[in-house]
Amino acid sequence: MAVSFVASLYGIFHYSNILRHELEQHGEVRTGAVLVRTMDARWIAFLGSIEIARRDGQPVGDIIKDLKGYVTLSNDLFKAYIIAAPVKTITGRTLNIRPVNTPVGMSVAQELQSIWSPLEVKIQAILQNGENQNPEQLAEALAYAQKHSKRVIEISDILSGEENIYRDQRMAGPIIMRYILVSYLTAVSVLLIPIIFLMGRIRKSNTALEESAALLNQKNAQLAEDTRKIEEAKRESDVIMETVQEGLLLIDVKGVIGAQYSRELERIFRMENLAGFNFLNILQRVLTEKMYNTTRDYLGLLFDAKRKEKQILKVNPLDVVEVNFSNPEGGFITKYLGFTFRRVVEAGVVTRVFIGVGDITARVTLERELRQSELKKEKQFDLLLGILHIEPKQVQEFIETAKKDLLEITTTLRAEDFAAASAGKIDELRDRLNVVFRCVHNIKGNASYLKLIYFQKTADEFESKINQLRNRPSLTGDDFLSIVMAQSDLRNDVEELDEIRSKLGELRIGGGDSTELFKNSDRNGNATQTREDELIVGLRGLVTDIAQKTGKSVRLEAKDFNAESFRSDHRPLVRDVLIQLTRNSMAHSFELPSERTKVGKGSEGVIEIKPTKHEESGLNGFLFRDDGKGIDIGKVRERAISQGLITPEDAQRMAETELAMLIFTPGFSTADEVTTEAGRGMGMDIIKEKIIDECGGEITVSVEPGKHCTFGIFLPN
Amino acid sequence: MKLLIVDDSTLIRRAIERFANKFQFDEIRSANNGANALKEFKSFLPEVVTMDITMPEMDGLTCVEAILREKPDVQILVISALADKSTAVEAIKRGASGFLLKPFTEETLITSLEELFEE
Amino acid sequence: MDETHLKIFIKGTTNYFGQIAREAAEIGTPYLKEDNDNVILDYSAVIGISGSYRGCVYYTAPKEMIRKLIIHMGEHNADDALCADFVGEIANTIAGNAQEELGAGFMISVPIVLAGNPGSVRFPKDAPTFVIPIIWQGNKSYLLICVGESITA
Repeated sequence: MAVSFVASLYGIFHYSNILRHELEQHGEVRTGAVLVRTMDARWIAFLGSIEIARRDGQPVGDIIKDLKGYVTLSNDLFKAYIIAAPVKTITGRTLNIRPVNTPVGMSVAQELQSIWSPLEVKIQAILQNGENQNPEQLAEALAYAQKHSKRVIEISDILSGEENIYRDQRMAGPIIMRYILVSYLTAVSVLLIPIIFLMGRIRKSNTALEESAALLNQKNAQLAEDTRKIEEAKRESDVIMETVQEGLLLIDVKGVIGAQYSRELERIFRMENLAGFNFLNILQRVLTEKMYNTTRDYLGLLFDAKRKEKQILKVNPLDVVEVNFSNPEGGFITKYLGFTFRRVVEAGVVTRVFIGVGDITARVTLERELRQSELKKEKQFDLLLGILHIEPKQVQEFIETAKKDLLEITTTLRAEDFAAASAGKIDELRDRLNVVFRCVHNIKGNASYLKLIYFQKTADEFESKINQLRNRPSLTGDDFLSIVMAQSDLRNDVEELDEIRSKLGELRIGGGDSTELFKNSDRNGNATQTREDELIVGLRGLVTDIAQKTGKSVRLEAKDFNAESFRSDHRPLVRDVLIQLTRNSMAHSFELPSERTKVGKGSEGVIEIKPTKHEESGLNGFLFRDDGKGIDIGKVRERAISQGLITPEDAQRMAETELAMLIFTPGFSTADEVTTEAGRGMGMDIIKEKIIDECGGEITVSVEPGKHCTFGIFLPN
Repeated sequence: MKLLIVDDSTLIRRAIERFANKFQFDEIRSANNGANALKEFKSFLPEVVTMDITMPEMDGLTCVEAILREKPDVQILVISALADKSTAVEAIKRGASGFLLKPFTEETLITSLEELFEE
Repeated sequence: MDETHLKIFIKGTTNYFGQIAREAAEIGTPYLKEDNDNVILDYSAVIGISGSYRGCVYYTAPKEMIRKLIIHMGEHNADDALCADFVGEIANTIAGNAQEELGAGFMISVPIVLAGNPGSVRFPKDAPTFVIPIIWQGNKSYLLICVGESITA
C-alpha cells in the first residue's frame, strides 16, 4: 500500500517531468517562474517520499539522487533572479533567466533566497544521512517547506509579473500550451493537498493515507490519459508546423511571437528560436523606415477592435514587400515577402493576430522581368518601325558612326592631360565640351538624314544639355555629369538599335524575297547602272524634309556624283560633310520663295553637287554649291566680334574670304534662332577638323554674297 | 441618409454623385476642399462622407480628423490616387472607415460604400 | 540612377577629402567606362549596393596618394595594411554618406579591399559604369559608380 503511494508520488514526478519537458521543448519555461512556483511542492513531495520509504524500510538512494538534482536547480534558479546566470535544468537544458531589476522583484528574489537557505541546510543533512534517515529531521524539513509553500507561490506570481513579456508570450501561445500548463499546475496542486493532508495525520490514521493514496492513483490515471491526448494533439500540430510551406505565427498586442510557429518562419527570416521575440523588431531590421512605421501603425489598427477588420485587411501594406537581409558572406539578400493577417478575437477583444508569411520572391521577380521585357519590346518595336524604311547598310553605318562618336566622347572626357592651373582648366573643359558637342551634332545630323526621328530628338535634347553648359561662365568636372548621363542613355539606345538591326538581318537572310520590303521605293528599277547614289537619295529626302518645315523650296542636283569614287574609309566622312553642308545651306543660305523672287531669283533654290579635282593638289573631291544668299559676311563679322574671336580692328583689315573662313571656328554660328535644323554653331568646324586636320584634305570657299556660296571638299586618294 | 462628397475635381465629384445615386441618399452635397467640407459638414451633418486626400486648403486626412471631432460616428470613405500603402494605413489610423483607390469604377465605389455599413 | 544620385556620391567624396585632408579634392571630367577599360590602381575598395538600388561603388587610388593622405592625418608609418584599410574606409564613408541621402532602401555592404591589380573587377552588366576622376594634390584617383535602380513595381 505504502509502496503504491511512493509509486504514485513518483508517477506524479514523472508526469510533471514529462510535462515540464514539453514546456521546455517549447522554450516555455524560459522565465523559470513556473519552476519557482512548483519548487516548494517538489521539496515536500521528495521529503514525503523519503519518509514513507524509510518507514516501509525501502531504499531511498534513488529518491535522494533525484532530490540532489533539484537542490542544485533550486540554488541556480533562485540565484539567477539576482544575478544573470544560466540555469541547467534536470533534463539538461539551459534556461536563460533575466535577473529582476525592479525594487519589488529584487526584494522577493532576496526573500526567496532567504526561505530557501535554511531549507537547503536541512535537506543537505537529509542527503548526508543516505539510507539512515532520521524521521525528526524529515518532519522538521517538511514542516518548514509546508510553512513557506504559500509564500513561495506568491513570490512566483510576483516574479511572473516582473517577467510580464515572457508570460504574455506564454499565454499568447496556442491553446494546447495553456492546456499543458493548466494540467501541470493541477498536477502540482493534486500532489500538494494530499501530502499536506497526509503529513498532519500520518501517525494517526492509516486509513487516511490509504484514501489519499487511492485519490492520488485515480488522479494520476486521469492525468496520464490527459497527457496522452495532449501529446497526440501536440504531435499533430508539430507535424503541421514543421511541414507547412508558409510562415505561420501568432503575435500578441505587444508584437511578441507566440511559442508555436511554423519552421518556415525561421527559414524566411533567417533566424532561429523566434518565440518570445518581438515581431516588430524583426521587421525593423528588414524593412525601410517608412514601411516599418506604416507596419507598426497597421498592427495597431489590427489590434483595435473598434476598427473594421475587413477595411483594415484591404489596406494591408505588406501584401508584397521588399525586405533586405544582410548576407553573412557580404552584401545583402533581397527577398519579396507576402503577409496576410487575421484577428483572433476573444470576448470582443483582439487578443492576438494570426500572421501568414510567404516568400514570394520568385513570383515577384518573374512578374517584374516580364513587365520589363514588355517595356523593352515596346521600345524595340518603335525603333524597328523607325528603321524599316532605311537600307540595312545605312542603318549599320549609322550605328557604327554613332558608336564611334560616342567612344570619342569617352576618350575626350577620359583624357589624362588635365590642366593644373585653374585658369587653363576652364579652357580645357570648354574644349572638351566642344568636342562632345561635335560628336553629338554629328549623330543628330546622321539621324535626321536617315529620318531616325527618335535619335534625332534624343541627340537634340543632348545638345540642349551641352548648350546649357556652354553658356556657363565657369565649368567644373561635375558639370559634365549631365553629359555622361545623356551619353549613357544614347549609348544604350544605339546598342538596342544594333540588336534590332542584327535580328532584322537574320530575318532577311532567312526571308528570301522579303528583302524587297525593306528597299527604297525609288530603287525598284532593275538597272543598277542608272540607280542614283544612295547618299544622294538620302540627301534629297533631307532637303525635302527641311524645306517642308521651313517653307522653303529647294531641289538637289547631283547627276554625276558617286560616293564610291572616294576611298572606302573616307566615305562616311563624305556623307557626314554632305549632310552638314546641306543642313547649313537649308538653314542659313536659302531664302524663302517670296524673298527669292523679290531679288530676281527663281522661287526654287538649287543645290548642286559636282565631282571635281583640286586645281593645285589634284585631290579628288566635289563642289557643293547653293544659290541662296550665301554667307552673310556682315553677320559673320558682327558675330565674330561679339564672340570675341576678332577685334573690330581685325574686322576692318580682313578680306571677305578671310571673314568667311571664320565659320570654321569652333562654336561659331550665325543663325538667329536655335532650331533642330541648324544654328547650334557647330558643324563647319567639324568639317574643317576632319577634312584638313585628320585626313590631310583641302577645303575651298567661294562666296558671292546674295548670289551663291560654293564649298570645295577634297580628299587624298 | 445624407452623403457629403469632398473632392477638388468637379469631374470626380459628379462621378461619385452619379454612382452613389444607387444608394438612394436623401440628399447629396459636395465640397471642393477640406476647409469648405468642414463648413458644409457642420450644417449638413451627413452620415457618410467620401474624402479626397490631396486638396488645396486643408488636406483630406486633416479634414477626416476635424469631421470626426464634430461627429464621431460618421462613416468616412477616403478615396485617393495615392497608391502608397502608407497613405491607406494613415487614413484608417486617422479614423476613416474605408479606403478606395483611384481610379475607381461604379462597382468598386458601391462595394466600398456598402462595406462601410457592414459589421 | 540619375545625375542627382551621382552628385550625392561626388559631394560625399569631396567632403571627405575636405575634412580629412583639409584640402578639397577636384573632380575631373566624368566618363563612361567601356567594357575593356579597367580602372584599377594600387589600392581599391569595392562596396556592394543592394536594396532599392543595385550595383557597386568602387574607389581606387595610387599608393602615393593614399600614403600622403595617411601622413596628412598624422600617421607616420603608412604601411600596406594601413593603406588598404584606409581605402576601404574612404569607400565606406562615401557610400555611407550616400545612404543617408538615398534612403534606407540603399543598402551597402562591408567594403572588399583589393591591394595591387587584381586584373579586373566585374561590374553589373545592366547598368552603365560612371568613372569620376578625383584629383587631390596632383594625384589622380577614381570613383566608379555602377548603380541601377532595382526593378520596381
